[in-house]
Amino acid sequence: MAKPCALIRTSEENVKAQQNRQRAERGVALVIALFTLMLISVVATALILMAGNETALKGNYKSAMHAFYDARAGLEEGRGRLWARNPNSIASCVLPGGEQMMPVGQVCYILNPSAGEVVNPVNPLDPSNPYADTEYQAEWGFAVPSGPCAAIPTPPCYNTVTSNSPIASANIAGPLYKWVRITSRTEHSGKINVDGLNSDDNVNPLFYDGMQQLLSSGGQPVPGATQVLTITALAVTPYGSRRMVQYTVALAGSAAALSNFPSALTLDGNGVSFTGPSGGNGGSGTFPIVGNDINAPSGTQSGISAIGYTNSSDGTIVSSAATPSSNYMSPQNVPNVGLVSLPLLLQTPSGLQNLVQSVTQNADLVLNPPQGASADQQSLPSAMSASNPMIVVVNGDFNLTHAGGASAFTGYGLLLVTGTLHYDPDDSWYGVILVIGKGVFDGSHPGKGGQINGTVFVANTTDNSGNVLTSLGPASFSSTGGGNGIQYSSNWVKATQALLPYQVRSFREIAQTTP
Amino acid sequence: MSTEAIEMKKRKHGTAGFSLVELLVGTILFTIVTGIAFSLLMSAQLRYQGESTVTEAFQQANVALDQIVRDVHSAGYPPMSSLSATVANNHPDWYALPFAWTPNYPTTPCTVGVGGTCTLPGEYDLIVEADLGNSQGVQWIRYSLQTTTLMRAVVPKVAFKDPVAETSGSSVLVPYLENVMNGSNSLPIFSYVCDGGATQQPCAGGSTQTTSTIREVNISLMVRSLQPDPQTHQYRTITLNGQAMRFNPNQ
Repeated sequence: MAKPCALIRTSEENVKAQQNRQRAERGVALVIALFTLMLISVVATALILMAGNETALKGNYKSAMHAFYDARAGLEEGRGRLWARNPNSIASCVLPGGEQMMPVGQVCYILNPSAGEVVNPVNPLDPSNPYADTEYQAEWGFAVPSGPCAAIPTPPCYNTVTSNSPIASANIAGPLYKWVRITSRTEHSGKINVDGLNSDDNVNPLFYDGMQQLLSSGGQPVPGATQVLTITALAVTPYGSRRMVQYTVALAGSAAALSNFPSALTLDGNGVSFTGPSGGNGGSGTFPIVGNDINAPSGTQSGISAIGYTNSSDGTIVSSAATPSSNYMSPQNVPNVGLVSLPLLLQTPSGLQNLVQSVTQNADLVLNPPQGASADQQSLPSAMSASNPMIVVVNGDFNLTHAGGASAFTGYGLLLVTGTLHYDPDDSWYGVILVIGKGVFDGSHPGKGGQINGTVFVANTTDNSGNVLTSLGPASFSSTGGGNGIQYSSNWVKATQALLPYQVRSFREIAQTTP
Repeated sequence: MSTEAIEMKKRKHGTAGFSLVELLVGTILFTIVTGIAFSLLMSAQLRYQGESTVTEAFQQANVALDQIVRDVHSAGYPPMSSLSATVANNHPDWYALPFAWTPNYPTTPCTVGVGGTCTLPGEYDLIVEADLGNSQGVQWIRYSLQTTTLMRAVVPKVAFKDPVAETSGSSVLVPYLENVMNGSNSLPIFSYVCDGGATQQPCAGGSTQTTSTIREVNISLMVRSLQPDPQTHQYRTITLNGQAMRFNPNQ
């Protein structure tokens, strides 16, 4: 009886035995768990590595594309704000003194820092400056100007404006370009040899006449051409992608052609005809044509010929019809009626058709009257005014004759008519009138009181079927008198020119390395 | 047998370890589990190797595609209108046409697209003209598929010379991207979109669709992996598509 309990396992012993058995099995479970865990870890790591790799590749590509298009957005902002009609025009940054052209050494920056960031492109010597404009030195051969421009700038100097692409009220950051730089362009900065003579001219800005770039000289603008500007933009994304792109821009080719008319009335072509008021007095007025610039400074005299023709063979016909000479006035030493030379763009039917196309592309309104019908001033926008001149293109005939019983009409801006322009001297137009195509200006309407302030250009480029001629045909101008005629106004010519936007002449990308 | 002996025997039995059957079953189970684990591990490893080769091919194709896109972006820089007309006539190597062509370069433009007269630009051959800003002036940059290798040549533009001949030498036309399978799959590398009035449309050999009207180049690169897939023993191919716009305007 000493050990009666030894034969029977107590419940406590049973539990212990079970625990021993479980403990023995626990080791196997651990090993299996470890292997399983290791397996899953390896597979997961491989998947993460692959996914990470792919994500990085795609991320790099996305970031690079982001930077590229951000930089292009900067270029477009710069180009858009160069336009005089842009409500956020940067004319005061580019031409702070109201100069005729942007001189070499003068720089305009549009800055676009992110929140809390400083963008200072004019400090290239600071190696910690991530947005330094080191490209300027590479292009121009001298350091970016370090001092801001005065009210009347004396280059080298720079101006800055801020970007208007972010919309703070809507919490829209806008494109992530850092700066846009606008400069003039020279042979040296563009690494081109425009004139074939001196490939390294770094003094005279380049100009564009609608067909070619030309080198200015003596710091003077090239007549009949507009200045070529270079726009450069740098974009840097938060992921470090850097892209720099560059435009060269100039006013639309048509603007270049409009920049320097040689006469108040220009008859472009061969065999042109001019018919003035008989005896110089047609009814209620003489319809004078005056080349003296009405905007010349007081006490000075400047201007152009009253009537210009481009083929010397037409001189006798036009001159003999333009009588009495007192009706056709021009400044001293400028012929009242004379042979004039035109920019290349205006010398050929194809060039003039390009001009028509360019103007049409930028028109505020294009009228297409049905065959055999004419459009008239009733179709013109009511918003047109002296402070809001417009570009109107009429593909066909146009009656500037206050049709429909309306009172005398006054229009503003650029009027391009490809058919016949019927003009009533009751009406007025401030700006430029181009009659290109059929090339007929018909002023055989009675009237008085109206005037064309600006200039008129007539050219015959198409036949009666609308086919483009191989050479310019006989443009025609006729007036039976009345009204105040044509008065040359350089201000209105410039205002009309400013209606046309800057166009891209070239694009390139500048390779970047991360600083 | 005393109860004590019986108890001792039972106790010995309880601490005797695994029986042979248990050991065998355990070993077999362990072998199966570890076998599965290692086979999965091996499978994952092979998959990783396979993906790596594809990724490498993808990376190389991506770099090539990016370079082609950049070159097309700059095509036509600087344009003819950058120079005075007289200088441009005398020095055609000082400006860039967007794309060179054959036959009859530079006198008579050919028409691009199926049914057109151009043999170059073609579906597998393209020559871009551009100044890349590397102080070499205007250059001809050629991409040409030869069997399964996309070749690239970069040479200075030479006035009144044939761009195809100038870019065909074995020392200038060098391998750029290997294992390009477009040819054997009849997948054009280059297809073109031309300016056409207000809209753009695929170049289809129309009489006005000359090289100067090419506005976009669509690029497709079908690239085979460098090594066969370790699991399937088959080569894998990937296709990258890109779109490159010519930003320089017609002059």
